[in-house]
Amino acid sequence: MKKLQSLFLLMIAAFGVMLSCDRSSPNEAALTPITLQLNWVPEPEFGGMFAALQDGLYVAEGLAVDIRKGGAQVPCAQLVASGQVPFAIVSGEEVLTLRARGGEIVALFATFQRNPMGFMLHKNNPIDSLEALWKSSSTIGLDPGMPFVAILNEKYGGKNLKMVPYSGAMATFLVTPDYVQQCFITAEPVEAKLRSVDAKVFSVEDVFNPYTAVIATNETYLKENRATVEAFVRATKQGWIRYLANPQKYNPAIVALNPSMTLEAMNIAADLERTLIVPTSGEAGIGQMTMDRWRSLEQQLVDTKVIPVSMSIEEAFFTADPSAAQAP
Amino acid sequence: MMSVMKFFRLMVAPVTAVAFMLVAWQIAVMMSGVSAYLLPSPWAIAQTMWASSDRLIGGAIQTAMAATIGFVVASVIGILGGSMIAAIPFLRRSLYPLATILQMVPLVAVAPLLVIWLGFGLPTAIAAAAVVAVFPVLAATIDGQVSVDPGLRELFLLHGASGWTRWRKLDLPASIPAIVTGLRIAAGLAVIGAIVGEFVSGYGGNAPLGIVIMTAMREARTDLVFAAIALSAVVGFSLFGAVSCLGWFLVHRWHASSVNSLEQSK
Repeated sequence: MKKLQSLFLLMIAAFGVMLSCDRSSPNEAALTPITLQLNWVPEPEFGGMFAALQDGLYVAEGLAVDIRKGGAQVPCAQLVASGQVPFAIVSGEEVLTLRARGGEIVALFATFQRNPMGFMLHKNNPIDSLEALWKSSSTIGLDPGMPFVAILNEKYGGKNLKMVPYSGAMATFLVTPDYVQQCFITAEPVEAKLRSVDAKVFSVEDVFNPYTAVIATNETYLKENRATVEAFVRATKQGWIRYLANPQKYNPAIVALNPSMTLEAMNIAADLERTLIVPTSGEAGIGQMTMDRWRSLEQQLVDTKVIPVSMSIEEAFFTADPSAAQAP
Repeated sequence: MMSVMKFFRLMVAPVTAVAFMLVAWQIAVMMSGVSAYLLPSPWAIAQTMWASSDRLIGGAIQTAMAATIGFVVASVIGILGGSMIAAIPFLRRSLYPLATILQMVPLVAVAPLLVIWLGFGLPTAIAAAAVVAVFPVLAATIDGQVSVDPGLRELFLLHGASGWTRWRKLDLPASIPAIVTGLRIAAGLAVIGAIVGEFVSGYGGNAPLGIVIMTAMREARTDLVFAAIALSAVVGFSLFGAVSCLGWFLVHRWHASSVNSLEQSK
């Protein structure tokens, strides 16, 4: 009998817990749930999205956005093209590469107007240019399959370089004076400096300048949910304007999601990335994409045999404001 | 002539199973219309293997080298270490649990540390292959040697045989079937370990299969990913086959498993 009483009390308690968990307000229930898959851990390169989340800009547009952490091995482009997630952060070349293989991926918003990729060397390394680096016998850590490697090889040779995979961790760079690694010029060099390792950086922007940290969706989702897509892009753009105006307000929340990067490093990174994100036309152009830039990228990928043939670039990106696509 | 017929008889079942699977896969891809970047058809993979044969064969040779050397290192450490642990009860009590715990450490977490300790390139891939392959050999060796017939062991003691003589003439030969089983498992694991090691350790002259896989993933070349996986399976199967041949050579005249299978086939 006592056992039955205990069981009854347990069931009441479980029912109570279930009721307490279901406390979503009517407004929350009306929101459209969407997921944004990041291609890296939370960092200032995604600051606008976190600002939009923190300030309720997505909710104001009727969206309940779930931002998922990424990593080196997360196949964001494939996930979004196959419809596993509605939105993901990818690079410009991934959009065109996957479209060339039949993937239905569409670029929506280009966070970085200028390529933030570069190579990071110890400051006392005698190599003084990208060309000198490529003609040296240095060991370089970088992701296999980076398209700019073929371009640099064609331009400068690179036969003596020893290329090794980049794990995403900086441990090897910090302890090896002659080691070179790929970097986001706004992230790893800052982190190295804060760990008392001075670094110099050679940007690859002059040889390869795709849009980076691009928000993408898939064609079917875009066709069926155009209003949602436009609302998401609109809120993200406003989020970026707010983040760039006051990154210190939003970085603590990003640090909480990525404690491996310090708040100080995030604040410095946010200042550095401003010139790479805001186009010459000003804040109104944040996120914009131009046909010329996409065509130029396509030509480089065809020339380096990353993609076999040219494609219909018009379908590779979508902008709610057609005039933005033609903006300089 | 008999042995050729027997070989063909043995091959019919596995070849039929593989052919059936490939045909079913091809039909499923054709009927579903699934994009090639998600799941390429076997025919598309075969075409890629042919078109990229230089790159794939060069990579397979690199991976085979790392896996084979790692496997040999793991075999030596596993057999000698396992023999010592089996022979000395104190070591069995102290080291065997430790070896079991080490086996549970995920290789993907250890691999970046191997790069820091051993540097980029082949040594790290070899070490990764050895780390993942050593435990099955060690465990099989211990199991084989503690299971030796106690009557035979007493016979050796009765004749005043030294520990070395007993290990050489009783413990090691009697445990060969168990060791071969451990080596077969280790052969497949060594290839997996080598590829995980390559993910973090370097390109080498020809990019090994681990790097081919990473590059193909970035370029959305799923057909090339599958082709590289198929080549890695060939490397693993070759190593497994070599170990099986060695095992057969060592035990086929006397061990019950070989003798029984021979009699069943008559």
